[in-house]
Amino acid sequence: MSFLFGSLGRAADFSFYSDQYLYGTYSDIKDSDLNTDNRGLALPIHLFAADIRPELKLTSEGWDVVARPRFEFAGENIQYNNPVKNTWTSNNKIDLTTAYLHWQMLNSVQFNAGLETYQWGGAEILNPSNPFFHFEQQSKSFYYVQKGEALVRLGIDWTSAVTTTLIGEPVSNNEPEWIAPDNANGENQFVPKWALKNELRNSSGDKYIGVVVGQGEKQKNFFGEYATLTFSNGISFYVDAKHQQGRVNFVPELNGLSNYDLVAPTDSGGLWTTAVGGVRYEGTFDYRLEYLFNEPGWSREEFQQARNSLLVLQATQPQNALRFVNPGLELRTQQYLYASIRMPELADKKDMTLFVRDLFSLADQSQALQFVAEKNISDSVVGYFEADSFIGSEETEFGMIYNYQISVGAKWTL
Amino acid sequence: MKIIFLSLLIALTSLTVRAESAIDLLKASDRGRGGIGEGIVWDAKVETAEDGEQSEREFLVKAKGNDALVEATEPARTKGEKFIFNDRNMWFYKPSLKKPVSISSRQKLSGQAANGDIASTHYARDYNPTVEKTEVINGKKCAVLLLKAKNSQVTYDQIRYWIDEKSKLGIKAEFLTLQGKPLKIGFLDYRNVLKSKGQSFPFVSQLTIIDARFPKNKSVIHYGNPRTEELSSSIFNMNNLSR
Repeated sequence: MSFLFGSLGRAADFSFYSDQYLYGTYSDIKDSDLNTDNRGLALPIHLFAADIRPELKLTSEGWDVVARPRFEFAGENIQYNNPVKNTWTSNNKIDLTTAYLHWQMLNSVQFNAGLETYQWGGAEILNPSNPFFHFEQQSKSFYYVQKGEALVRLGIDWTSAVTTTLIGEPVSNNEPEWIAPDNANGENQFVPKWALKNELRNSSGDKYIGVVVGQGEKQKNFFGEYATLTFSNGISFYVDAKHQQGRVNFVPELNGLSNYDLVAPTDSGGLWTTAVGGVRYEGTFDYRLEYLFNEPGWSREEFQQARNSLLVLQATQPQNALRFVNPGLELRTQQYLYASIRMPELADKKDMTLFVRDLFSLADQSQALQFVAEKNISDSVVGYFEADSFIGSEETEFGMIYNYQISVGAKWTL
Repeated sequence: MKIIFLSLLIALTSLTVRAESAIDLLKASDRGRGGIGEGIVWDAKVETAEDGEQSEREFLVKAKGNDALVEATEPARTKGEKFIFNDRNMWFYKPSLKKPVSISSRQKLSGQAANGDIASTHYARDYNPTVEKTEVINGKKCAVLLLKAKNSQVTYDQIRYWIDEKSKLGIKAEFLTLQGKPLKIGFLDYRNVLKSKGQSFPFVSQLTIIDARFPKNKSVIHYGNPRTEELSSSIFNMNNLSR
């Protein structure tokens, strides 16, 4: 047993650093039938935030413990129109985004337990074969931080080419569930999830293929696969897919009053595929083009029906609103294109990076276009500028809520 | 006819001997730059002077065979950044990313130093050597090798490499384009001593890389405190990278 516990008695090294974010966001909110005068959704037009994200790490031979608490102080201005009224509120939060133990049990066996983020695959927009983490539209914003899930993970390197990873999510991380409640009480319904991942890769790790099986949301069984092929000319191709038994997302359905409600699907059989395929070229700049196929998603007609469920004044309207925001879909419709360009080492001192990203809905031709500039100001400070444009009419997926958002901020690291 | 045949045989044999010597020299020189089978750890500090601006970056490097894990430690804004080298491929991770991303080892690390300069070198694995000539530098008789990249994933297309015939250590390098034009010039010092399997041998202490066109632009990589350590192969697997 000494190989298990022998290292615990050795002195551990403690390390600490902290990222402090200071940023402000202005949002140009679309005046629409969904949010007339901003009285329906009450979204902030101004947001100012200070976000302190330290990392505390204890490391010894064969194990380490990492904790990343988060202290967020935010002030928001919600502006209503007709008549114009500004309401300032503050939202302060203390949270733990990551806290886990990593234990190198044997040379080729490692164990992790706690709150952590664990994703895989070559795609940038989504990791469909991963049942624990989902798409978040703001995830590419400079100030975004992914909250960890409560995971238990065992990894075995059978050889340098073959790895098996067993991951379980036995308990909730106390965040609202990805899918809105479907029971009358509106309670959060966490269900445990698990996945078994096997990966085969070459010695460089630039060509790999993996298969995944497990149980995801609502304990639906799934299997998935991912693969990346990188060629020496800087071009790589990749895919990542999940095939799930039955749908979990809400779907629009006519109620007795000839209006639409968002309800749990009755067609719980069949295999439903969510997949991303992409190509990447890494030269001076880094280019990507990805296609996302989201079979469980709503058709264009279903999207309109779902949107209409929010507009009719009926008893189920609040429930429909929750289900529209968290429908149990990575993205709401079925097909998308995603393109991104990363341009590093710009400006005189080569200390600036630009990102341009575009997510385009093939269902309604709306798009979310993002531009981010990142510049080193000093050894400990990085400045950011971000502009997000949402193109499309108010009836479209990306054009529903905002016209544009602009964020300016800085990160200071201690 | 016999004379012609014998002449050809002698010429072929000498070529073979020279080719073998080039590879052997290269393998021996890799040892002084981390190209050994067991785990090694060292601190790396990169001081860069570029267009009149000075900057510094520091890293903790763990290497084993063809793999390396490099953690950025300074400046403060780079804390949390990690690079994994698997053979010739490289992965980058920083806390704002959800997962490691593969990047080119040719991408700039700092100034004249490319990402591939910071970890251990495996020129014998990555390049085909031929002996060009011998030359004396600073009183040391050196075999001058021309190294040609085996594929485009390695850091440089071609390298002209001066290896001290006595110590078998590379002391000067010209990093060349495909057309053979010098991009950068490097000078190596070996003031460190590494103990491995009961033996001690010189280990690189400094690599100075100078821009061939603009000599005032240069980067100096200081390799400090090299020591052998028991390193699990799992730490070089990006699936196991703690995030």
